[in-house]
Amino acid sequence: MAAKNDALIVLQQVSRCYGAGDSLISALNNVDLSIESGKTVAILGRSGSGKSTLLNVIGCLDPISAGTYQLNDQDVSKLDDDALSILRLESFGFIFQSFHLIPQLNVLENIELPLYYLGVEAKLARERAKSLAAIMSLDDRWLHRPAQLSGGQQQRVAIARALVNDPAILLADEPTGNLDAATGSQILSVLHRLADEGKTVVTVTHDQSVAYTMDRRLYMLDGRIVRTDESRNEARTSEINVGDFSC
Amino acid sequence: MLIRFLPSLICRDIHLGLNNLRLHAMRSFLTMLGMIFGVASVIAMLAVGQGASEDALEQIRQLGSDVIVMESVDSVSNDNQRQGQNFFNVYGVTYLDVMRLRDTIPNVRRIVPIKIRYERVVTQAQEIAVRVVGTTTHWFDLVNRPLVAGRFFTSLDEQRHHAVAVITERLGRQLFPLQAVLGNFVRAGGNVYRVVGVIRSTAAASNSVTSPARDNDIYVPLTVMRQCTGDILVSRLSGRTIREKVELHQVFIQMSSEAVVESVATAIDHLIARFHRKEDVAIKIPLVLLRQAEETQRRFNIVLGAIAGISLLVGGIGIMNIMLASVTERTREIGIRRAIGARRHQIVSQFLIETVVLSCSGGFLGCIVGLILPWTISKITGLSTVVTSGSLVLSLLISLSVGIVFGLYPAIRASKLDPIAALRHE
Ligand SMILES: Nc1ncnc2c1ncn2[C@@H]1O[C@H](COP(=O)(O)OP(=O)(O)OP(=O)(O)O)[C@@H](O)[C@H]1O
Ligand SMILES: [Mg+2]
Repeated sequence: MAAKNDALIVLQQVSRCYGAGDSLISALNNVDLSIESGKTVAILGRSGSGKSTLLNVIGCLDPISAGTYQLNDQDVSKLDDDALSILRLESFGFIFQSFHLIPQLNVLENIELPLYYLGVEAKLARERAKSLAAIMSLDDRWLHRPAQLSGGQQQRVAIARALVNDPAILLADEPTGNLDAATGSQILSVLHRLADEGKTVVTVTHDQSVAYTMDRRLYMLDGRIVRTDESRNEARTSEINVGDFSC
Repeated sequence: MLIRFLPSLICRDIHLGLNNLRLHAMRSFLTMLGMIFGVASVIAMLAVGQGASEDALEQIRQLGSDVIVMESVDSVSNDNQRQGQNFFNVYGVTYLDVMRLRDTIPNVRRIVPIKIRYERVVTQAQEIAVRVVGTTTHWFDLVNRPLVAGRFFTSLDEQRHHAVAVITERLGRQLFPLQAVLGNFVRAGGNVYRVVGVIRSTAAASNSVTSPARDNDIYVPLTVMRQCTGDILVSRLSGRTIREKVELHQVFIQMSSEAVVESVATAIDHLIARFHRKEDVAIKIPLVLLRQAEETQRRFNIVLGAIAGISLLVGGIGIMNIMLASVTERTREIGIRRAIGARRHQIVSQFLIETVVLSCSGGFLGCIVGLILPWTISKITGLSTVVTSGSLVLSLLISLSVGIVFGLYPAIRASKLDPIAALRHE
């Protein structure tokens, strides 16, 4: 395990249990994990193994039942609701497994939502949202509602929204799941570019080829991290890194 | 930084609120209906109340608040007594009373005695019921009714017993439709008067006894009337004869200032009590009547307002109901916003603004309906209604506070949702 002071995210003996009594399910079970700033991490595992739960815990969205979680040497479990909200707002970008776009808002409004809560001026926010929509090749869908978009387009809106606040940590739950190989690799190259810029990227994926472009792979089973793999397959990285994205 | 952008944030929330209302246009409209009718009924009720009070107060106000009215009242209560063949009913204010008042009461500006006879004037076409009012020239100063043509009669007319008359405009038109009114003669109560002046008819037909003027009035010098008709009135009414002697029917006493009115009224009361054995003189003070009427009206308005307020309450509950449903419906949206980093108070304000937008648009539409409704009431029933700007402002304020009060609970409930659970909500 890396020294505490240069790790950004440190989980120690973290558990997350749902329900109570007989129906108690522990989605995370004594997880130890530390992630250094600027690293890319892939989480792999069977369905129901607790990947999304781990991501939610890291993203300060889900409170932990036991153990300690230190983010930037700060004990997250001691923070109140408002502080957690601000942390999510300023430090994290979430790409949810099921996109989670707001149906009443159009593409641009969805993308600029975090900026709205950050108090960014409307005009600036609109410009930033437009530039991100352009990067995600959504130029011609600005005013569409999520319901009028394909799954892949919705996913790209979700990614744009996660990036709009320029977060230090990007948490992605199967960001390429709904995309064809070409678009998927474009998204992947965006993630790597962010990592090159010093951002920390944690992504859940079922795709081994995606996982092997990351610095580290965590294999999960029944709420535990059963294997960690740090070797990086440079060949695959270069193979995949052919996206023509300009970020 | 937040302060600087606050207006734009609120603007966006309002925009979002309007968006959501538009998205469920039918539902929002039905919800707003409660507010619309609540606000409209508040305005309409206040308008009707205000109109009624202004009607009533106007009658009293015509006299002026510095006036005391003495009225002769028939004090005979026993009907058997009245039935007696030779019963002769003597009551009311006397000429002597007026002289005593002149001599004893200070601060008096003018005393106007009035003698009234109801007569019928026969013209070629019809028979017109008129009121012949014998009075002094001061009467015209007292009631302040504008002269349309000719002149008022003067104290010289009174002294010299000139049989002259001032009539109302309307009566003039009825009596002499084709001839010049001035200089013409009118026969009333066995006497012939020459018309020297025409005064404007009162706009509001007032039936109050204290009202100094009616529409079909002939004003003649008291001296002439007294000489010609005397003080005794014999009339046959449904088979019985009524004989009564009334010297004066009304006396208006105008004081030099409003402040002395009530004390002088008590003094007059004592004076009358000393010289009259029966209680045959009523003293009315328009100032006091005015105050009483205003007080009654105020209470009436409160009751009306409370009833209308209940309908507002119902409207508010409707809004709360729909907002609670909306919170449940939009649980996922709330979860998304929270996950992205919205703080609790931001969720509260979003929903609160939405509710306030809903209630205030309802309130605004209600104001429009509230302007139309009293107008319709006036048209249909003839009641006069007055919509005050105060009631409009009040209604808007109420709808704002209804929005806040009834929106707070759903908004707080929305903000208390657990983000993860809300995200999983389907
Ligand atoms: N709110 C909850 N209440 C009860 N159990 C829950 C809750 N959330 C998650 N779980 C359980 O925790 C376990 C882990 O769930 P999680 O969503 O983390 O799985 P996952 O690894 O992301 O699966 P997938 O690959 O299908 O998305 C599952 O067994 C799930 O049933
Ligand atoms: Mg998952």
